[in-house]
Amino acid sequence: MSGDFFTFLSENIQEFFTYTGFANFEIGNLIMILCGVFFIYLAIAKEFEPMLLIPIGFGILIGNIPFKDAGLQVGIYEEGSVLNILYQGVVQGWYPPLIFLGIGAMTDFSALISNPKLMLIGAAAQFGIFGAYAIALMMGFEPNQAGAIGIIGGADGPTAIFLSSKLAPNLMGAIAISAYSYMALVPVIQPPIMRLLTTKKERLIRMRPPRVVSQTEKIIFPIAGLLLTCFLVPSGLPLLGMLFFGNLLKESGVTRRLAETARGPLIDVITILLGVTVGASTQASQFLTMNSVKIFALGALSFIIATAAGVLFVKFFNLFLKKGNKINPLIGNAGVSAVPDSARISQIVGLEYDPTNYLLMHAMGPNVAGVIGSAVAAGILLGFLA
Amino acid sequence: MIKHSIGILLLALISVFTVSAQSTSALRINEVLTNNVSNYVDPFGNRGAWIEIYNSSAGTVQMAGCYITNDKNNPKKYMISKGDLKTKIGPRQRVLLWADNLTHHGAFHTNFILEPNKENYVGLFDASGKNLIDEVIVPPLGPDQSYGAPVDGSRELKVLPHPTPEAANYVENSNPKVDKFAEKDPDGVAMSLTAMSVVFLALILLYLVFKQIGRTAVWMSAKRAMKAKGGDLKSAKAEADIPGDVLAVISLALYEYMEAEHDYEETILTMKHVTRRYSPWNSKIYGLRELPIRK
Repeated sequence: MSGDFFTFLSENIQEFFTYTGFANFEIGNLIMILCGVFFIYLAIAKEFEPMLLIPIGFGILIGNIPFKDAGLQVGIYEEGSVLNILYQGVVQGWYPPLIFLGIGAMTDFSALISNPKLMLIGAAAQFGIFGAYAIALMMGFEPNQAGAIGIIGGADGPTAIFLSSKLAPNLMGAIAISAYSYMALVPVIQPPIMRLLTTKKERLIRMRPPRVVSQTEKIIFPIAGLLLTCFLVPSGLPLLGMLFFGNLLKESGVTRRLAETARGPLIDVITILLGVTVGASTQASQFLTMNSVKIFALGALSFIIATAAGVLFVKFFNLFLKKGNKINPLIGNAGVSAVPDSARISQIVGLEYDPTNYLLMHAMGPNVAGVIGSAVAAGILLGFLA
Repeated sequence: MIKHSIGILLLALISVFTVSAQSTSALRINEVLTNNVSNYVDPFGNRGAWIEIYNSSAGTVQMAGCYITNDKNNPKKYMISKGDLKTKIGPRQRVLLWADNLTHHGAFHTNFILEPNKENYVGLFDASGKNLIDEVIVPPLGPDQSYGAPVDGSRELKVLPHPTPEAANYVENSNPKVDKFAEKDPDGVAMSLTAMSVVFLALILLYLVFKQIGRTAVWMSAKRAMKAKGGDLKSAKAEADIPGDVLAVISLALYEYMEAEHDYEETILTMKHVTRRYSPWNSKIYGLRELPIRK
């Protein structure tokens, strides 16, 4: 009797052991867990995009705890599990538009409205997307996969997730992680390119201070912006519609509570859910592939191309501008839509050469134009390849 | 106020009717089989003629209340019953109606039949029985042949040798758009050129519109300033174009002058001892840090 009991007990313990993470552990899990820890380190010690890297980093830890596939509905890829339900916002693509709603409600487009020619810099920086698209095709990716990878060059996490969920869902984890990693590394990637492509004289250009923008102009902007861009690219509607809607909530002056909810609690909730589920989607078995390595390389390239295109476009544009109206090419990098990090880089690099030349407000113009530009580019890719 | 309420009510009614009309208008007669010899069997084990209705829209459409007929002069021949939940057709989904004159078998069995080996008319009318949604003239068909859209929802109908009841008439195993780009644009040049042109076009449009709006705004504010102070439009326009930082400095100076008036003592440099409100004798910190004294 007692012998049977101990056999039963030992079998139970053995059975339990098969369910533990130790029994199901693979080396890939360790690599991914180290990646997650590194993200958390970057967020806390270096303060690189902590709002994103903490949820994503911790999500990577969650997604890489190994477990026995016994239908317990714990994994993010198991239909009906809690994580899977939360992940639907990513898969179905409804988290990114809600993030855009919040971005719209917190963005001040005054710099762009007061100097609308800065919009063209936001367009030029989208070369990064299509440069990466062409290189991805050369590396053997299908056009839809190349489009999803190329959007990393837009430096816009929600847009990258939205587009990859539609064009190449199997690559979405790698694309999202790559996009957010490089957005966090904007202070490392952009300054050398900006210095390399500009002369000292160009870096000292002082721009005319922006004029004061009236409330009416600020109200017209989201309405006209929506109508003009979405009539041209209706497939960008989910992102652009929510972006401009959020901005109207902010600028109308009569929906203060809605605007505060959109740019506060709503965007915070969605950021948490988006970050943690994207992180958890990087299960080693799905994520550690040669394609992910290629996507990371292409992501870096796309950022470099986008930054260079923005800076070079300003230099080209300056050829046609009068002396007092020239644009400092150090704001060209801000055409990528990593708001407001890339605008902050323009300011920091500009101050290195002239401590009284403040470029932040000027750089915010192309920066927010970059958000619009990358959403339009995503709409075009979606229209062509979905 | 009453006029406003009536206006809003009318607008709401119009939108409701428009939406309803839009939804049933997405229905299509997608495939018809008149000569069922060894084809699909209904749940009662009968082989009859069938009509496949396809919802070509991206939203669910309620088909109940619509009319289906084989007689153009009698559009209200058979009303699709409102009592069955299956009459809601999901986006890009299809349902089958059996033209077997066996209405006691349920909502999906019509009160007419389609003649095998003859030409048949099939019409789908909305709930009013007056507006035609879709109609098909089915030519005489051979055994187990159907007449329908080669691709679901299209209007170029033809005889289909392999009927596909309640299923897609054509199954795509690949994305033709992606295949086309892979074939015609392997380097991505065409995509890059097209897409960048559209991105630039969108932002150039915004630029042009807001350049004009900006000009108008400056002109209007100059006009307002001119009205308030007098003078000519040019000088008022120059004033209206003052940059924000200059305005901020002027505002600050005015504030200092008007509100935060300073009296002369601020110009006197004083060396005043700062009194501390605590001392080691009453500070808790010192008390907490004190070590027990051994006696």
